[in-house]
Amino acid sequence: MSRFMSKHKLSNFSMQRLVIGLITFVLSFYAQGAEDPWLHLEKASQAARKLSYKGIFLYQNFQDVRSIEITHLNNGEEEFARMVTLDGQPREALSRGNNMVLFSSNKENVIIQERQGQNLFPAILPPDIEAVKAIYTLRFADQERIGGREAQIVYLEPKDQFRYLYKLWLDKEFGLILKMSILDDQQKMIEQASFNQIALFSGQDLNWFKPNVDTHKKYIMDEVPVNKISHEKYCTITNLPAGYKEVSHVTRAMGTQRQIVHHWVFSDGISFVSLFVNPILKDQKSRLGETRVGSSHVHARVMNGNQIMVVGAVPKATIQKISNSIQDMKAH
Amino acid sequence: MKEKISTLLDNELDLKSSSQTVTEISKDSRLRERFETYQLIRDSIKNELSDVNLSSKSILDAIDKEPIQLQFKRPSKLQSAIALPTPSWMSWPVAASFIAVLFVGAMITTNPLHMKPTNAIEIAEDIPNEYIEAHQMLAPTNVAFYVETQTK
Repeated sequence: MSRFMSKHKLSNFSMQRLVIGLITFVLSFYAQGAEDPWLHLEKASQAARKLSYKGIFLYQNFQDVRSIEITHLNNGEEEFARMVTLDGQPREALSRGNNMVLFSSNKENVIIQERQGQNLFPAILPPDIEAVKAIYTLRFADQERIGGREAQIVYLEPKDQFRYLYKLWLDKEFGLILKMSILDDQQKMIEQASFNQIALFSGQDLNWFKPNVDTHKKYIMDEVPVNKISHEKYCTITNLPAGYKEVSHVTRAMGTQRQIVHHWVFSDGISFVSLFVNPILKDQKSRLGETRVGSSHVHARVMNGNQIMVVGAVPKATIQKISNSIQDMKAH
Repeated sequence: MKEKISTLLDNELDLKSSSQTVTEISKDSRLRERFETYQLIRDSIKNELSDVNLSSKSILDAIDKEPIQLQFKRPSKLQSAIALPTPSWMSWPVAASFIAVLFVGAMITTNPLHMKPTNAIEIAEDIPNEYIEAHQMLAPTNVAFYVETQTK
């Protein structure tokens, strides 16, 4: 009996250990799930779009510094945002969903321009961060106060040489990106934006959603050129840098050029690069070489009588690789 | 078509033309985008968004839900929304300017092509601004908005 009891007790003990082990495993599984660092980034992506907030941030790149006032409202159905540059010439953007309109003023005119997309700070992350996971690693660092709020610092470290390093300060409570630094492989600052003040608000009042422009000035609509459809197969694009995908392709007139220009935009989810291809007419000069304009690299070359131009705020290696991705170019 | 859209937003099209225009908008995604942009500009300037129900966005919602003939056959809330009284500052010709499209690109392009039949130009010496501006119009970046396309 005692043998049986001791055996039985042993069995109970084993069972208890098994149950405890299982509970520990399940708890640790859930704990790991809760601590998945990418959830913080997903929260940051959602926060910029779903919260209603108002604040002022400082934006700077190599050559310029601007103070920007942003008001963002999500009424549950739509996003509305107004961004006003507080320095220099009056300039502001109003966006509703994916439609953005830019109002710029000079002495005589108000210039109205259409813009694409919604990837402006603090909404720099794509809604779906799965693409980001494939090309960046995420590392957590210290905590800091930004704009009067506690922030967790995270690094988005590129897995290759085709993108910059992102250092992000995420609001500990709401996840909103309070500050970002984009750094090159030498840790030199490419761009930076940081809230000086930020506050959430409730309510759906849209009285603020109007441009502050002088209505006595003449205004000028500067529209995105109409896409001129070309059915000819102009070239093949292969072997893009990892993670980059085509997000748009238009054929358009551009600037003073008489010929149609093919314009592709590629993105890895965070950065955007334009590739232009157009025939060089007999009375035109071709363009060659590389240069840098602000944060953007520009690369120009000629292939089979075609001008190839690549522009983007990405490392030089990315620009070069995209320029070299063209195959089967039609000769002119 | 741009003229029609802007006139539609100003409620100046007759019934038949309105129906045709809305039909065309409903069939073409680019026209729809243009309509949305125009109505964003118009609504924001006229500050009509304090009551979203009275926005001409409702036209687009109606396009999604039903054939178009319903919107312009009765003096609906939508129609009255489009026909909101013109504010005093409308001397600034909103609709007219939609039609009178000018190209700022030409104004801010500081490096027009030199038509010499010679060889290549180094872009470091002659920045290809028209390409950079074209990139900024389609690529949603902070630089494009905050810094590099400041009105010149």
